[in-house]
Amino acid sequence: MSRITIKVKYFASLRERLGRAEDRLEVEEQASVGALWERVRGGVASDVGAPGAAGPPPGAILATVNLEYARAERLLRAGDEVAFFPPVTGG
Amino acid sequence: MSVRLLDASFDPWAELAATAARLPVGRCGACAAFVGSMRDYNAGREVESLELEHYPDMTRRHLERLIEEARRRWEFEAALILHRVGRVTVGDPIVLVAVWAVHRAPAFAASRSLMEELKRSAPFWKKEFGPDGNAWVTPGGPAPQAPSTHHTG
Repeated sequence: MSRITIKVKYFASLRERLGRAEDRLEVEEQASVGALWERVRGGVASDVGAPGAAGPPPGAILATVNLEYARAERLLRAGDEVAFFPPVTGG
Repeated sequence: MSVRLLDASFDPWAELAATAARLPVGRCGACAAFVGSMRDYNAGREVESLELEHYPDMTRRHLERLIEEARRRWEFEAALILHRVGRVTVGDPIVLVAVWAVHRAPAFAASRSLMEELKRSAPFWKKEFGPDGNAWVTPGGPAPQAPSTHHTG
């Protein structure tokens, strides 16, 4: 399996907890968003969840790939931009 | 259709008037607008200001997508979403959502849905600053469902 480079961004409380806003990482081609989270989570207990009809599961971490929400099973390709962040609180 | 992210205070009423002035005279019998402003308390804590973080590449595009999706469900002439980013102080407007339509039903329904979707999924995060220190806001319980039929609340 070849390796690919991806960009990973972190926002809000997760960015503060990890102590960085961004990573550029090499991962196995076809690695999943969930596998990437395992690698970067650094002791953060929350799992990756999607924003469901009633909002995300409490404490979940949301993931996006190329600016769109993605599930943990989503597979990564070279050049993807992934972001991890806590449930949103705008409005 | 218009989405703007603003890093300074804005006047939602002036923004509504400016958009209304650009619409064809007499076309829209209805405009439904929601303005959300910053309170001086949250979850029992006194709050003096907020820092609103967003995901610059994604947030605008996500809000534009919400308007496109609303367009497929309801017929309306124009929609406006303005949202603050950066430092917000007590009393400042944070968000304006407005929809202009021929009749009130789609104006109410689309504006309500846009606002609830924004709260549920748009990438913004609030950090509160007050006399007791600072803390990230967490979503307070399940979001209310947007009503799918007429509802005057």
